[in-house]
Amino acid sequence: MDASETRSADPPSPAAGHSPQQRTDQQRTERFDLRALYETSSLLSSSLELDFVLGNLLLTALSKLLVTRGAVLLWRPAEGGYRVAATKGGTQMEEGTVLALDDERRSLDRDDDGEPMRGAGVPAPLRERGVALALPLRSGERRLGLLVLGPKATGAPFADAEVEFVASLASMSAAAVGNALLVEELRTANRDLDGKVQQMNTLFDLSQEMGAIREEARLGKLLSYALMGQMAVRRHLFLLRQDDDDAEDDSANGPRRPFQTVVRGGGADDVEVTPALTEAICGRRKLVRPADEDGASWDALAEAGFDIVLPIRHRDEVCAALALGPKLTGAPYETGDIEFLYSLGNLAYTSLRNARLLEEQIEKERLEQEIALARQAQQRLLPQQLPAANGVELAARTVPSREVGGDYYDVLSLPGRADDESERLLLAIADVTGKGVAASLLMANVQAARKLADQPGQSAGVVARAGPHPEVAHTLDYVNAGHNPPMLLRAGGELERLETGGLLLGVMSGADYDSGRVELAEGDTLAIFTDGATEAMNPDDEEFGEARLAESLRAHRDVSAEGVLDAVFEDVRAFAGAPAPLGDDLTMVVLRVP
Amino acid sequence: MSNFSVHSRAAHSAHDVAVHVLDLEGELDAHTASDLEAAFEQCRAEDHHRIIVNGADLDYISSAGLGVFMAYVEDVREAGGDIKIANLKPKVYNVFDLLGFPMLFDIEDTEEEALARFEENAEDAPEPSDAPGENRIA
Repeated sequence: MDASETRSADPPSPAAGHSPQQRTDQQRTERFDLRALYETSSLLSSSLELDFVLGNLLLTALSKLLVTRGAVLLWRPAEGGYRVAATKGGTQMEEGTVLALDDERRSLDRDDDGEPMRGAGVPAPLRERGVALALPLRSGERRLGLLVLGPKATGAPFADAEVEFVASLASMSAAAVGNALLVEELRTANRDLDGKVQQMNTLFDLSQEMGAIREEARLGKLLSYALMGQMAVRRHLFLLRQDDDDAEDDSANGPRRPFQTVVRGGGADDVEVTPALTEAICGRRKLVRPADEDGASWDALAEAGFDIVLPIRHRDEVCAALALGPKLTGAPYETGDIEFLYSLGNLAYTSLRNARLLEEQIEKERLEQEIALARQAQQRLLPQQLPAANGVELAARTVPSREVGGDYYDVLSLPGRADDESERLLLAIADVTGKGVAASLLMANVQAARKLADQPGQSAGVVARAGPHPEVAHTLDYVNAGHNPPMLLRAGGELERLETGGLLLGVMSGADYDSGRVELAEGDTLAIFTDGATEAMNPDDEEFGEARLAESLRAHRDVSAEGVLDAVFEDVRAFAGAPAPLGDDLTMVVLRVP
Repeated sequence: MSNFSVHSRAAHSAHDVAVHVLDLEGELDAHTASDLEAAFEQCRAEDHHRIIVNGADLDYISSAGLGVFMAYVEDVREAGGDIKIANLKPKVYNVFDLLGFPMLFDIEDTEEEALARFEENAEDAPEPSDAPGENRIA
């Protein structure tokens, strides 16, 4: 602002003296003074620009009082005193500084009576800065600030008339200053509001978009853009703790789940996310400024150029962290920025977490679909219908557990041999170790091989061949390859176990297997089963066991093969506490000689 | 449905400095930021380092959109070029201004002025530009 703008810059009023023209001078002075006041006042009222108003007020005061320096201080209670808003001449006050105007006699901060202060009456902090005259600026009851002036250039003290003039000037200009201040406040408020609206827009924009995205890389990129755009920052780092599904595992004793870097940008590549850094961040609840902290982890962050670190908490545990370098505009992070960054950090955390959960859910559903397909395929591998057999009753059933199991059974009618026209029946049962798709595939292999030997992986099985024999009703040849020994319940109730055989199939290549032979007579019941029957658990974690199975067979052996199967399955279910799903496949083949 | 598009074209200043112009149209937000990203990527792939973003038809920009400028400007400047911005609508300029971008980017009223700035010295770091008068809050 230059002097040409001050249309009211009148020639300085002559100092009051004792010349013969004193009376005339006095009158002229008063007239000049009045005109100066009027012109200054109307000039200031014409503008709402604070700088213009303050500058002209100062220039008028300086020129009228022959003072070389002056300043306007504005009352800023929130900043703890009076802020230097405008200066003219070489004052010892820098624009923008805030002065607390307390001294031993009174606190101007609390007590401002509106009277001009001169000489020793000027508050000490101002006197020290060369102020000789201070005039309160008040608009009604509202305290606006002070117009302060240095001593007169002539070295003379201020005359009462001069003080009166400048007091009137201050008083008449106060309204214009007040208006300009209001406009400035409004402008600041508007801008703050615009800033808030912009922050809300950013969060809204982002929450919409992030909700629709589940690729982690894309989410990270959006977070980067939002940070860089909203904060004008380049260096940034977003860390996410690994899965917090098992919150109990993250006990105070154990090591903390480490942070993973999800996003880094703007030269944040050289920051190593160490366990110590995780420890340091997780121990905080609020904003951290690494430069103000002690410890190697904080030092490393500070050296890498990070100004602030925000721990993002979820259910009272730090689950993510956002670290930022300086704003490129040089502006500090304000309270509003920090609030925004917490919101953004939480949004990013929630979105990333949801994306991961969704990904897991999709994977799980995909797996379940696969399992359902495998189970269908497995069911098709089992005999859809048992062959008709003369002289024996046959029944077979398998109940798969929740997952795809590895139980397999088959009943085949073999063509008679040339030297022996009698009917031959082949019974097979197997339980592939392990479950899932791989186990059921192996089971399919077992079936395809048609013989229970030389299979990769492990399986246990029993092959039994029953055929007519001259002396007895039927002969049964069997090989037990590490399977639960089938139960043969004689008509009289005695229990025999078919144990002859060898190791689990596939455990050792080239293993030898023995075969056993038993004869079956009328009333005998043979039950071949998998461990799903004996190892069925009740709610007290007890197994059904072989004794209960034998008892169940014995109790129901007088009914048909189908009836025995029904009864045993019913007993197992009742024991396990139906309708809870069985932990393992339950498979049983029953052959009964009626 | 995306209501944002980027068209790129070549331009030459009076003294034949080759500049690449990206004309933005519509609303640049978190959803469409990837389109601008792709355009800058293409500029990089084709070695266009003097870029003017013309916002004559840009109706809206979000912080995520501004972030894309931030993400690419450093690389472009390191390659001896710059991203200059021209022809912003007042509402859009206001967002740039609010977030302090006039300190970081050369923002000109017209594409011609932006071209002229490239002419001055393509390798100069941009100076803060003045706000168009109509964007001052009265």
